[in-house]
Amino acid sequence: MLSIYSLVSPKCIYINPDVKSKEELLHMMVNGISSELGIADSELLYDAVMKREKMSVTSLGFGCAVPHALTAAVEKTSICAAVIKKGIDYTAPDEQPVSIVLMMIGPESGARIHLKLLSRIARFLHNEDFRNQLKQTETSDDFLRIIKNEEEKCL
Amino acid sequence: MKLLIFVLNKEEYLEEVLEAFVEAGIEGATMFDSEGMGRFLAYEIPLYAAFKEFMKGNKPYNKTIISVVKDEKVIERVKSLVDQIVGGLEKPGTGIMFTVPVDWAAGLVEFNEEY
Repeated sequence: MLSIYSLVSPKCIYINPDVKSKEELLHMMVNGISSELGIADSELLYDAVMKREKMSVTSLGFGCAVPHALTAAVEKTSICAAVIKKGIDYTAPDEQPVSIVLMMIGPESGARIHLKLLSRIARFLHNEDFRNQLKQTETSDDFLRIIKNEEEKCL
Repeated sequence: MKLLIFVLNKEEYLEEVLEAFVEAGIEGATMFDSEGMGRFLAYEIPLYAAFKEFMKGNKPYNKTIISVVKDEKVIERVKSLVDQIVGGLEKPGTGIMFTVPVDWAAGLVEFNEEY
């Protein structure tokens, strides 16, 4: 199985980005993935992510969200992350601000692997220690190291 | 001695399946309502809401029937009869049947059958 670690680029990890809204945050993250994958029209990805958000909010609770989408606009799965220490209004059902966001975008043909990765991310984020480590991270390298350490426990 | 487990996805066949169990020589079984993992994830956990289409081959609710079977020939007969009823267990979405070894059991119905 693909690892989360291998799909996150350090350039796609945002620590305390200057964003004021969920939409602004998702736009920034989609732009990051678009640059990483060489997608000219990042709006295609944004539209796919927002379409999924409209279906139901991708907040897990505990201040975490996993926006995701399958779209024909990409050929490989990519993950982007953001840590917003003060939190951001994500219209989460528990009404709590969200401070950890992992966005995953994959090709339409990759539903199976997408589902597996989504489940792994959700499982990790249910662990309070893991969440606290991510919330305290100061650099993208730190963020990646925490993900890698957690994934190594599953090997 | 085996524990026969059968998850019947097509509940409309329950009566016929139970008749087949009895016909094959199973006089005691326990059954309960069960639910597919895919349905629960896609419909009850918002994170997986986008996978309703992906999960559509899975039946939302099913029946699980379990029975301790002493005579393993009974299992072959049950399998054959159930295949005829549901149209073949190899077809996706019909059901799953499997056995696990049982090394001890108490309280089983005693059979006095002749085949």
